[in-house]
Amino acid sequence: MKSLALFALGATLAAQTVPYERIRDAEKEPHNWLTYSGNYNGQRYSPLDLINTNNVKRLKVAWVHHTNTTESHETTPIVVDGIMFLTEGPNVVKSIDTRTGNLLWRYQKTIPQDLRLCCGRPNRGVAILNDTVYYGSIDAHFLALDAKTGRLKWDIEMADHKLGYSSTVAPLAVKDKIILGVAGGEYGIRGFLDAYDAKTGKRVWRFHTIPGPDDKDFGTWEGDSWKMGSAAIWTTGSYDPATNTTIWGTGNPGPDWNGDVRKGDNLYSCSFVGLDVDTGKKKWHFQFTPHDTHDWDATQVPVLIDGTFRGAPAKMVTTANRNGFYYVLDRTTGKFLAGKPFVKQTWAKGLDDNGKPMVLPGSEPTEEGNLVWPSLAGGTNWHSPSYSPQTNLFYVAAREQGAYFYKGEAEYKPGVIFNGGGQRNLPDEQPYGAIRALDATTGNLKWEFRTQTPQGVGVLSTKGGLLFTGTTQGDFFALHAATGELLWRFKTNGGMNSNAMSYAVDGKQYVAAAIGRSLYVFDLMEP
Amino acid sequence: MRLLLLWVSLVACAADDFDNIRLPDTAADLARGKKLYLGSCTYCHGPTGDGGKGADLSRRDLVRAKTDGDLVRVIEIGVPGTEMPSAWHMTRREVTQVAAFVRSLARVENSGTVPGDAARGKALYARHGCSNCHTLKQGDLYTGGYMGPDLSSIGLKRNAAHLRRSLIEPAETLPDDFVPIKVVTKAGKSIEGRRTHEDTFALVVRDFAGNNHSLLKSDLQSAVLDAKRSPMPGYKDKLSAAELDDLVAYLVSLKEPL
Repeated sequence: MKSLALFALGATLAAQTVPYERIRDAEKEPHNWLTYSGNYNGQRYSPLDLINTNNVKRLKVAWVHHTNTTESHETTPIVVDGIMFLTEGPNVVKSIDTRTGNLLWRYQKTIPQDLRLCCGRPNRGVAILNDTVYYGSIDAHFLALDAKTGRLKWDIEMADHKLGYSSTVAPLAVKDKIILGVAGGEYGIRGFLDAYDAKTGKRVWRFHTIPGPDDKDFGTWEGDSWKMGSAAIWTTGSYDPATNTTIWGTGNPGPDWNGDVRKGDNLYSCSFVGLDVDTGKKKWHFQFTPHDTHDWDATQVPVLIDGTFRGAPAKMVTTANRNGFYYVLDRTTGKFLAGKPFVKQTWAKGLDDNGKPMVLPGSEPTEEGNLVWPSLAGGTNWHSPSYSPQTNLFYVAAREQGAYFYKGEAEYKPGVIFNGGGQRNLPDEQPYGAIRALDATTGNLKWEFRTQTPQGVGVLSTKGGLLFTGTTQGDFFALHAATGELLWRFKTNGGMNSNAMSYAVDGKQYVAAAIGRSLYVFDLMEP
Repeated sequence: MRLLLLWVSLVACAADDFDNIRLPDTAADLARGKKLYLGSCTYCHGPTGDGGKGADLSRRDLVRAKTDGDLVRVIEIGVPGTEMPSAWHMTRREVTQVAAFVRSLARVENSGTVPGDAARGKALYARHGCSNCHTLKQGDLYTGGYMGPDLSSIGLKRNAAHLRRSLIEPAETLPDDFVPIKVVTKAGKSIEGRRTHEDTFALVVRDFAGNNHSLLKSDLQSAVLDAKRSPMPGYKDKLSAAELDDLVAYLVSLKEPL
């Protein structure tokens, strides 16, 4: 009798579907986490407050899901009505019943042995739309799986992995389309963002992150260097339903550290691009680091904020960029509104009125090595920042670290690593990290919580007045969102390299994060 | 596409041929090897080969590449299960040029002549009580103290100049997990030793008696690290120049396989 009842519960759970409107109106169902950043605005803010500043001390482990992955565990789970969907590098997608922690299904893709990868085989998560889960695989394929069973619906090649293309990004489901891009920025790929029909898997549009000869922005690359200029897409974008614009960050130009062979601004590398969702046509772009030679990808989640800027209502997109500066842009035009450094940086005198960096001479990589702050890993990296409408603060995991940048030869060959140098840490530096709370419209520092090592972890803020984040040394902890005070912590001894999320089931709130090789799920101990 | 496949099959055919490899030695080959190295290897191994994320390549006897053939194999195939990738993007000729350049990086001369007598150095090691703090493999057993680094394989890891410097000015070469620390708890207890672990919230201190103190930073009144000071005394004035040579020669001879 008991098992029958459980079966009935399971059957009910699996019957849910997620039409576009549910994701668009995600704030109406705060118990779910329907897309990579929680909702389309990229804020990674949970409107749940069952766990809050008063009771967070009672947080304890609800369940743990161990994996066999040996890759960096970077997934953000999605939760729909108690069912979780998550990925594990290099090639696994799973569904878990969050009430019990039981595995509902596991899909494993067969992947080739001759992948061309710079940086391991991670994956950052899936998208869900209606009854289908969507996944970009490490060999640059686009897959659709039945959400109830994990059965494969299709497996489409986006690009040839032998040329260095791969995919690690969690796709974004918008309207009737699934949008995702390709990684491979160290292999001389030509980056792109694709939109596929969610029902058929047919490609609807492709936006090249490097303009071709027919584009009006063509010509910011010397000679043929645009053909192998990289500008990969490996972190999920945001979407503004009011203007039907999806905004994505693009990666470094290739070769990373040798700019001699690609003179020019190298558009649209290291940029945010705002695209029409229906057509893939570009509405605007903003380049943070023209002609980047330090591997400072702009692959950060664009954080959309509606508020006031200098007294006037503003639709903003904000970001703390890998190059060390925090930016506020008008997201309807891409126009620069404000910006300032949020970490130590030594490469630019500042930003001009248009947000362009005033680059200091002598900051380029050299054969002998040139010392620059921040390091190649940046002032922050791909990990999600967070914005809390409660505090109007932008939270970023910062890295205080410099590096010697080296320039090497980079001869392009298809499918061959194409980075043109590298970096080296300072032997005597004691690098450190911090969770920093910035005024969202000015970038002014409100408070910081220092960590022993440079941060490589995302931040989740909640309506409960909390921030959840961790360290690469295996700590997971909660801070007071208004003050930065440490309120709770838990030692996992597994390095965290992911972003936390939160959901609720049966009236109980949970906080989940991939830490070490496991997924940890926390809830409140009964009082 | 076809060309790539053809290339892969050529590599496969040549894969067993590592034993007969001879590295090129012309200035042009070394220059080309240097350029390729700077382009692909510096990220982990540093521009001068003295390591970082990757192995220290500035040593004569590379642990995984005793022979030139081994070195070419490691570069060409990588080291499975580690972060060392294969250099399948390079031709065999390019790999040998890189290998030749890597050999030229060797500054740590472990197998060459070191002034001094290792046997006399061994006696000095005993007389000065080095084993009070340092571990050595003696026969099948590891013996000695634990407040200093294990020296069993030090001759494979460090060159003579570095070891000499460590004896004269120990603080200049202090390993990160041997930094002296003094903490005082809020309860007023004082603990001195070396920091064996530190994270955002916790510290582990090993005191001079070998006891581990696992501490929360929130329980501490103060914690003072002194990276400029080594618990090891400097031997500049304790040893004659000849004795220093002898002790260095002994340390260089310590080559327990890694």
